[in-house]
Order: sequence, then C-alpha cells, then structure tokens
Amino acid sequence: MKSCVLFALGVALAMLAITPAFAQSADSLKKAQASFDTAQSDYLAGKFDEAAAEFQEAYASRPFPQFLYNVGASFHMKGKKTSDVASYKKAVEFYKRYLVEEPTATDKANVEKAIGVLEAEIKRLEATPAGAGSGSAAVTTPSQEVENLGDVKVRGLVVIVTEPQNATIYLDDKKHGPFATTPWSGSIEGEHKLIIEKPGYKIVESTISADPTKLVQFVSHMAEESSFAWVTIASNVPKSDVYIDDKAIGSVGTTPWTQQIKPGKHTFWISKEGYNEFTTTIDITPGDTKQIMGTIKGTPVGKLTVTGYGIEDSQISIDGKILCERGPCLRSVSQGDHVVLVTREGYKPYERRITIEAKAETQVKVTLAPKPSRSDAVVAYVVGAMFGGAAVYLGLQASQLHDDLQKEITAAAPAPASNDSRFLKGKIYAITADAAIAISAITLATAVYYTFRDKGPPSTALIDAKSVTVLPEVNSNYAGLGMEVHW
Amino acid sequence: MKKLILLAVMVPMVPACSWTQFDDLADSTPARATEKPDGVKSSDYGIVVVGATVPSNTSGGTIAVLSAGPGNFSTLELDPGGKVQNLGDSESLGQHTIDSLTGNAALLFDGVGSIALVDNSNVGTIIAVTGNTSGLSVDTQVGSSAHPVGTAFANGELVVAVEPAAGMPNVFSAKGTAVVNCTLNDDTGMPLAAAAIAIDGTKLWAYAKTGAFFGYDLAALDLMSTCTNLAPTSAVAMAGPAPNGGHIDVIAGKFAIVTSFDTTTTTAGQVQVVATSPTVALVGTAIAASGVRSAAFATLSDQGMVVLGYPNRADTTTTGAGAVDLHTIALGTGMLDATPAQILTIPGVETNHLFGRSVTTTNYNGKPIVVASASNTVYSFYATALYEAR
Repeated sequence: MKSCVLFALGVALAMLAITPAFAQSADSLKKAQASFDTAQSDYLAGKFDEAAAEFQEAYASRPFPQFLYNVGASFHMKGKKTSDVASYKKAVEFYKRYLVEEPTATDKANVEKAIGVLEAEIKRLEATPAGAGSGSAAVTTPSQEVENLGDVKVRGLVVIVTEPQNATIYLDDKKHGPFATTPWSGSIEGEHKLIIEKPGYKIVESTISADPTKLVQFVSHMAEESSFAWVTIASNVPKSDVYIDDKAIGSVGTTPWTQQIKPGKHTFWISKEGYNEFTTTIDITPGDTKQIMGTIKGTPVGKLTVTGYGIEDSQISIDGKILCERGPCLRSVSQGDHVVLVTREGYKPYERRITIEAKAETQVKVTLAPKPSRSDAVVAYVVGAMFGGAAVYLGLQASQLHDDLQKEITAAAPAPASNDSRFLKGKIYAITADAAIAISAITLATAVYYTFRDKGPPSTALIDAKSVTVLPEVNSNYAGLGMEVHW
Repeated sequence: MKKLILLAVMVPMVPACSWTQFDDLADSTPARATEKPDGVKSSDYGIVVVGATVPSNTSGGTIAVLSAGPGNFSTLELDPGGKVQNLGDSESLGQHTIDSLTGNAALLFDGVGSIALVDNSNVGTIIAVTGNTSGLSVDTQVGSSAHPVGTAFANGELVVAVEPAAGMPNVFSAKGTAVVNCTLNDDTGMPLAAAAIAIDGTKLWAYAKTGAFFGYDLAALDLMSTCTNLAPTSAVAMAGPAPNGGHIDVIAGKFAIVTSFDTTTTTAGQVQVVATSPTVALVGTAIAASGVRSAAFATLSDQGMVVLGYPNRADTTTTGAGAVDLHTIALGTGMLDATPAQILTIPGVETNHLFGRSVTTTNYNGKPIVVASASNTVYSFYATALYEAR
C-alpha cells in the first residue's frame, strides 16, 4: 500500500513539474510498471510464457536488468514444471544477459550457479529423447540439482529517478555516506529515509518502503535552489571526520561529504585519528558550488589500552594532555615514546615513559597504590610546634629572669643571693628551652621528611605489547583479511 | 623548602640559647650564699658567725662559723672576686667538751687574730676555747656552772660575764689558760646582771638587764688579778631593759651602740647610741628594733653602718624568712638613722630560714662585707646600697 502511495506521490510530483524529456521518462516507466504488474500476475498464475513476455515488454519500456532476471526466472520455472529444454535454454540466455547488464549484481554467484545447473539439466534432457520406441520412459521430472535450486521467485524493483539526473542518494542518514546517484534501480529491503541532493537544487527528503515483489518507483523533479550554496568536502583519507564552524558540536559527517550550506564565511576541519588536521576558512556566496579537498598526513599509530582496578575513577593523560577523563582507555597513539600518567583521587599517580609501536597494541594494566596518610607528619608538626612554642616561652622567661637578676645585681638593692632560686629557675628554663629547641628542630625536620617521603609501595602497572598485523588470506572457503597478534 | 621551614622555626628560639649565662650571672652577684659544706656534719650550720679578719687594705675576708647538732667550728674565706670558699677546716667541738652548743654560745674575734668560743661545757663548767682561723686550740675551763651572758674579747683578753649568784664571781677574765674571777656591782651595789659587755682601751662597758649602761675602769678592773665588788665609774639609764640579752659595739673610741635583743613574742628590741667620751650620755633617742636578735657594726668611708639581724621577720609570704637592716650612723655625732638605709632579704626561701640570726662584718681591702647567717646558709654581701664591691 505504501508503495502505491509513493508511486502516486512520485507520479504527482512528476506531473507538477514536467519537462518534455522527463515526461517521456515518466511514460516509459508507466508502461514498464503496467507490464511488470501484468507479468507478476501471470507468474503467480503459472502462466510463465505470458509472464516472460510481459517482463520483456517492461524491459522494452525501461531496460532495468532486474526485468531480464525475471524473464529468465519465468522460463526457469516453466522448464522446471515441464522439463522443457527450450524453456531452460531461454532461462539460461536471460540469466546471462542479466549478468552482462548487471556485472556487479550481488546475486551474481547464485545466478551463475543456477546457469550451471540449468545447462547440465539441458544436457541431461537432450541425452534422453522423450517417448522413444525402445521402451524407455520420457523424462518428466527435474533433476535433483534443479530441485535443490528451489522455486524461483521474480524480483521486485526499486527505481529512483530524478530530474535532473546525477543527484546523490543517501539512505537514512548522510553520515552513512552516498548510497547511489540517480537514476538508480535495484533491490532494497525494508523502510528507509530517502535523501536526495544535487547542488543547485532543494534537498528532497522522503520515505521509501520497498516490496520485494513489486516495482516501486520514486520519481522526483527537483526544484532549483539559488539562495544556498553547496560544499563538497573530500580528503585523501576516506571516512575522515568533517567539522563545520564549531568543532564542539561534533562531526557532521565523513568524507566524501556534500552539504547544502548557508552563504557566508565558514570554517571546515577534516581530521582523523592518527593524522594531522586540515582546516580552511572560505567565504561562500549564494549558488556557489565549492569543492574542498583536504590533504591530511598520517603518522604511524599504535593502540594504547589502559585498564586496571578502579580505572573508571582514574584520569589518563599522555604527554601532559588528558587522553581519557575516565578509564578504561583505548586510544590510537602516535608511534614513539610517550609519558603516560594515570591519576586517581586518594591514590599515588602512576607515571611511566612507554614506547608505542606502530600497528601494535600496548596494554597498561595499572594497580594504583593508595596515598599514604600524612597524619604522622601532622602529629610531628604539632609536636614540633608545641616544643617550639615551649622553647620560645621558656627562652623568653629565662631572658626575663636574666634581665631582672642582672638589674638587681647592678642595683644591689639588695642584690640577689648567689643561691637565689631564680638563678636555678632561669637556668632550668634556659636549658629546657634549648632542649625544646633541639627537640622541636628534630621533630620539625622529621615532619618535613614525613611530608615529602614516599611512604608505602608505589603505583605499578603491567605493560604488555601486542603487535597487530593485518594480512590478506585466501583459501578454498574464505578470502579476506586476517589479523595476527603477537606479544 | 626544608631550610626555610627550619629557619622560620629556629629564629624565634634564638633568645633561649643563653642558659650558660646564668652560671656567670650567679657568680657575679655581690650577695654570695654558702650552704653547709660537706665537711660540716652538724645539722644546723651557721648559728653564729663572726668576722675574723684583721682590717687591712690588702687582704682579709675570713669568717668563723659555729654550727650546732653537734657543735662544729669552721671558717669561710672570702676572696675579692666574691668567691666564698670553705677552708675545709671543719672541727668538731666535742673534743673541747662541748658536745652541743647552748643558746648562750658566743664566738668572738679580738681584732688582732685570735678567736674565742665561750659556752657551757658538757662537764658543768664554762669553757673558753681560743685559737685562730686555723683552728681552736686552747681550752680554758672556768669553774662556774652559770650561763655566760656577756662576752668581750680584745687583744687576746677574754672577758665573760655570767648570771649573778650570791657570793659568786660574775665576771671572769681569761688570757691563755689563766682565769681571774671578779665581782662587778651595779650603781646600787648589787651584783651586775649583764645583758652584754664590751671593752675598749680603758673601759669595760656593760648593758645591765635592768636597762642601765655602766662603765667600769679597766685599770681598776685589772684583768690580771682578782677583783671584788667593783662599782661602775659611770652609769646612764637606757630607754628600756634588756631581758633577752644584747650587744655592744664601741666605735671610734667615743660611742657605744647598744642593742637590746628581742624575742619572737615581745617588742622590746631597741638600739641606743651612748656617748662614752668625754662623758657618758645617751645620743639621740633609741630606735625601735622589734625582733632584733643580732647586731654588728662596720665603718664605711664617711660614716658607720649598724647591721641588725631580724631572723624571725616574715616577708610577704614566708614566716621566719628573716631580714637584715642596715642603718647609717654619723661617726662625728653618733646619730643613728632610725630608718634603715637598706633592708637585706632573701626572696623565695623556705619557712624559718632565719636569715639574720647572726650578723657580723668583715672587710676586704678596706671595704666592708656584711655577713649574715641563716639556717644552714651563710650570706656574704660584697656590695649593698651603702658600699660598693671592692
């Protein structure tokens, strides 16, 4: 039902802004749509010859390769039902034409397999004449291989057409990158957001719901837009992050990236982990189409992983810059020597110079040791201050006594006796003050030592380096990239 | 950082680093205290002190000290630097038949080098022991069991007055081991009951307990022969009696400073100057000296100094702390200043320190030193408000 609505919408849009060329295109699509619908009905009714004819009619109207596949599928099913060699041969012919016109078809392997099975079936049938007098029975059942292929289903088709052509199609989100350019036909499953852009034209956004048994058409006549400009940003490193005007709001997409943008002065950044950053500021006028090619230079990088107990409360810095506000921390780090610092409130920091190797993962498993209590230093300071205060007090008392006695001796009115208790008292004060000074000095020196000494075990870490190598692999069952890890 | 912290702490403490100065300070004070020397085995050191130095401009400064419990004789040598040394000549008095000193014990210096100790012996006599600062060597037994109440010692001649008894001599004169008995009467013809006696070149002066001051002619007294019922040649009534004993200092050949001792319970103490030449008469009025128990005299450069010991005087906090008052006296007129020129005290002492229970004077290089004893301590004042240290 949605496809019908979309179709109607597409038709309506086509009718609203029709141009002669675009009108011809719309007519051909309409014819193709009618033929496809008839062919689909015949196919479901088992009228495979009629279905094949209608699919060929649709192809004549709009040469979508999927129509050729459907012609091949109609003959394939007729051959299977009647063991008709001629039908199998036509099936093989149209399957091959399909692959010729759609050389990058995603189902190429399956189609080629079907071709092989059908060609073998043709040979088998031709080797066994039907109704021969020798008493042999005519072959009426398909081979096991044909049976294994199953019943073939004709394919639906999504067609996206714009006027003008060569508009960029995005599915769901521009961050996923361009999907295709118009005109486009192919298979899509499920419902998707459709974004179509072309510099100089307003952006078309819609929703498309693909039915695998239907021909779904999305036809758009794009309206011109002259008050905006278009910027296309590319870089020598694909999938680089693109930022516009304010890096704080995050990446707007990855290269290659195209965006309709308001006129004015704009700053663009292109960056990617492990590469230097490209930035440029340009003045854009309405209707401009700007191409920005950013070249970023990469440095060999390795992976640094910092883990450990309590790492989620730890901050990880490298070379004095915060790498991760919290752990665990996994980041790409340029090759070379770096100073890693792991800090956590209440714990001794862990600092170590490590060497990051390119294409290697360096794991640092940190065990942070709790910071030692400084209560002993505080106690020593207090005791030292107490003794210092006592020394000052006693020293002043001794001095006062000394002065008083000296005055009395000088005045001789009367002079204090030599056994005057104040001589002994003053002496005791002075000796005690001196002793208190010594104790205070020693205690304070101890307190200073306690303040700065590194008590208890240090924070430690286990450092493990794994080299990561990506190698191509090819064998009888698999072809791709393999990763070797060494440590 | 460490250095700064330590410096910040050390700087305020600098004033405290002076404890050794207290040693020097104690050595510099002109009031020297000598506590009982180790060699003195008595429990009560310094019950009587007497200056035993012949006045000299170049030397001097020896103090003879009596101690009790048991009796002991020792000396102290004062040097010009203020240092007081125990001469280490502690001598037990038991060998002189004085096992324990009585309250009447007297220690005298004759002014020329001899020292005499007078007390009741433990064999029922009065014993006079004479010697010098090197020790007591000559024991003279006086055949009397009466208590000596007044003593005088001059030029080797020792005179002892005892309590009068009917038909018994009341004055003995001893020179060497020879003893002469005499009987002195008062101006009423009754035997003299002396509180104190003194002699000068021509007279024996006696302060009667009744309160009269008598003069006896030494020539008539003739200390070398027995004399009986000798009447005084002069008599003058004093302001008050002397029931607790007394002390007489004869100065400049023309004045006698007469002190009536007190007890801790009465207020009878007083000091009266008496002109002895050319006529005997009171000089001024007596000054009250409540609690006085000892007296001494010293000549200053232009005046005299009367030293009065008040061992039972309390200071603001301590009972029996004791004090010594210094009075000036005009040598020309004999006028005694009733107000002390200085009061010597020992702050911070224990109860019943009894500072001033015995006072004496000596001199060094012609300058006086006031010496006052207290319980187990002898104080020597090398300087006071009245004189400077030498």
